[in-house]
Formats: sequence, structure tokens, C-alpha cells
Amino acid sequence: MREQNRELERVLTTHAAALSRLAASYESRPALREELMQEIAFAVWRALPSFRHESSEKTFVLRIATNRALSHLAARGPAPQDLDAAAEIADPMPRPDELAARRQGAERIRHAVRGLPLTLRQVMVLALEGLDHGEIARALGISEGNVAVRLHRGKALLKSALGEHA
Amino acid sequence: MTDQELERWTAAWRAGTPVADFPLKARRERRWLFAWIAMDWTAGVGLVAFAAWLWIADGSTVMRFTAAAIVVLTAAALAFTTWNWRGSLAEEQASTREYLQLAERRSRARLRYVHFGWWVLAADLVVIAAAHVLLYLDEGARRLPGMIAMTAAAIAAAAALLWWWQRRERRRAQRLAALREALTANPENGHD
Repeated sequence: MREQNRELERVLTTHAAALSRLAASYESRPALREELMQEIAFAVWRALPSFRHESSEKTFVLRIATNRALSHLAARGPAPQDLDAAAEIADPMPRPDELAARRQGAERIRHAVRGLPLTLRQVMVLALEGLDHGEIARALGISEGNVAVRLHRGKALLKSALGEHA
Repeated sequence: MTDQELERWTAAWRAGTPVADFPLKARRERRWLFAWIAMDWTAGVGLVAFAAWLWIADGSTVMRFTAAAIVVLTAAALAFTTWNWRGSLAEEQASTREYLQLAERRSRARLRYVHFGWWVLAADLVVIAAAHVLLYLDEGARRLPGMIAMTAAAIAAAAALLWWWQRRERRRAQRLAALREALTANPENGHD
């Protein structure tokens, strides 16, 4: 039991940054984000004994976190501002003053990712975390072709949302 | 659109991440889980002990009837608690598609349980009415008004809880169905 707890602490510490980013991409409300992170930590603890090393540890952990995030969305619903963000993304030319007002760098891209439709956001988050097409396909239970299409669309929307026009 | 773009976004995405203390969160959540289970079982054992005391100390037909009802309902509640935890402790590592199917099955099961709860409440009403009749035959109307008021309050609270739970589960089921629909759309066919 103690050995298992030590292993859990190692896994959670190793992937804490990726899990924090994933949680932030599904929940923008700070209190509910805390709750989601708590749910993810608990889910990883429960699932860890069944990890058979058939995928990388990171893929395993991110798959569990993605599933937990969906449960969270089903239980809590999306934040109103995330729906607003989705509307902004759908507009290919957001107002320049709105874009300028947004925070720069990391927060800017996180905001843009959070505004992607769920199908594209799932794929984009896992790609940004370094998973390849095959790993994303296995994590989400879809084909690699499907991953490629969603990633292509996600990139186009993200580019537009970030104001990076070709 | 190039892979360099994705690399640039990845670098920005990972920059300055505020990292949460996940091991602490796991420990906290485990403590909550054990506290909940301990609380359920402590309450269950307390209620059974109370029923035993009613059975032995009072000994009247009404109190023995009440004690038996408490034991039966406590056993049912503890069985549900165990079943409920087992249901929520499975298949965390499934793919998202499988996980959503499982989540929908669980949601339907919870809704069925709430519907079952309404039938249990109706059965409780019958049992309680019988207890009141026995009390009336035993002691007359002396304690009846107080008992009826207490019963009405308890039934109203249980009905409110069931109504709230049913509403919550229906919303969750609707959101799950919407998520499944959104996530199973095939972009290769232009349905995303």
C-alpha cells in the first residue's frame, strides 16, 4: 500500500503540469477547476493499479484526465464565458480591441484552446501535450484519420482565434 | 499550416504553467472518500443500535414495528451506498468513446434508482400510516398529532431530496447525450 502511494505521488508529480493545463482547458472557473483537478487526482489514484504499460504513462494519465473532464462537464455544464469564447472563435475576425485586451502568451493560447468546439479541443489539447496521432486515437477511441481531420480544423480555428492570418 | 506552428503553440501552451499539487489533492480526496464511507457505516450502525434499544427497552407493538422498519431501511441504504461506490469505481482508463457509453449507462441506472426511491417513499407512507393506526389503537389520539406533524415534515424533506436528485440526474443525462452526439460526429463525413 505504501509502495503504491509512493508510485502515485511520483506519477502525479511527474505529470502535474500537463494535468493542470488539461484541467484549465476544460474549466475556466477557478473553484470548479480546483474541483476538477481533485477529481482527476482521485481518478488516477484509482486507475493506477490497473496500468499495464500498454501505452506510455503520460498517455494513460491524460486519457483518464480527459474522461474525468467530460464527466465534470456533464455534471457542471460549461462556464458561460467558455460559451462566449466559443462564439468568438466561430467569428473568423474578432475585433482588434478585444484581441489586444486579452492577456498575452500562455494565457492567450489557453483561452483560445478553451474556446474550441469540444471535439477539436480534445484533440488539440492532447497534441499540444505531445501525444502523436496514434496515441490520441487510442485515448479518444476514434480513428487516426479522424484525429488528423480534427487536428487540421483545430489548427485553422486556433490560428484564426490568435489573429495569425496567412 | 506547418508543424513549426504547432511547435510554437506547444511552447507557448507549456510556458509558465501554474502547477497544482496533485499528490496533495489525491490525499485530500482519499480522506474525503474514507470519511464518507465511515460516516455512512457509523450512521448505519448507530441506527441499528437505536432500533435494538427501541425493541428491548420499549417492547410495545408500535415500537417493535418501528424498530424493524428502521433496520430494513438502514440495510437497504447501506446496500445502495456499497453498490453506488462500486458503480463509480470502474473503467477510468477506457477510451473516451467507451467511457461516455459507460457514463450514460451509469446515469440511466441512477435515474432508475431515483424512480425506485419514489416507490420506496410511497411504501414508507403505507408503513407509517399502519404504525399510526397501531399507535392510535394502543394509546388513543394523545401522541398522534405530534407524530403526524413529524412524519409530514420527514416525508416532505425526502420528497424534496428526491425531486432535486431527479432534476440533477436528468440534466446530467441530457449533457451526456449532447457530449456523445458532439464527440461521435465524424468530421471525415463533414458532420463535425
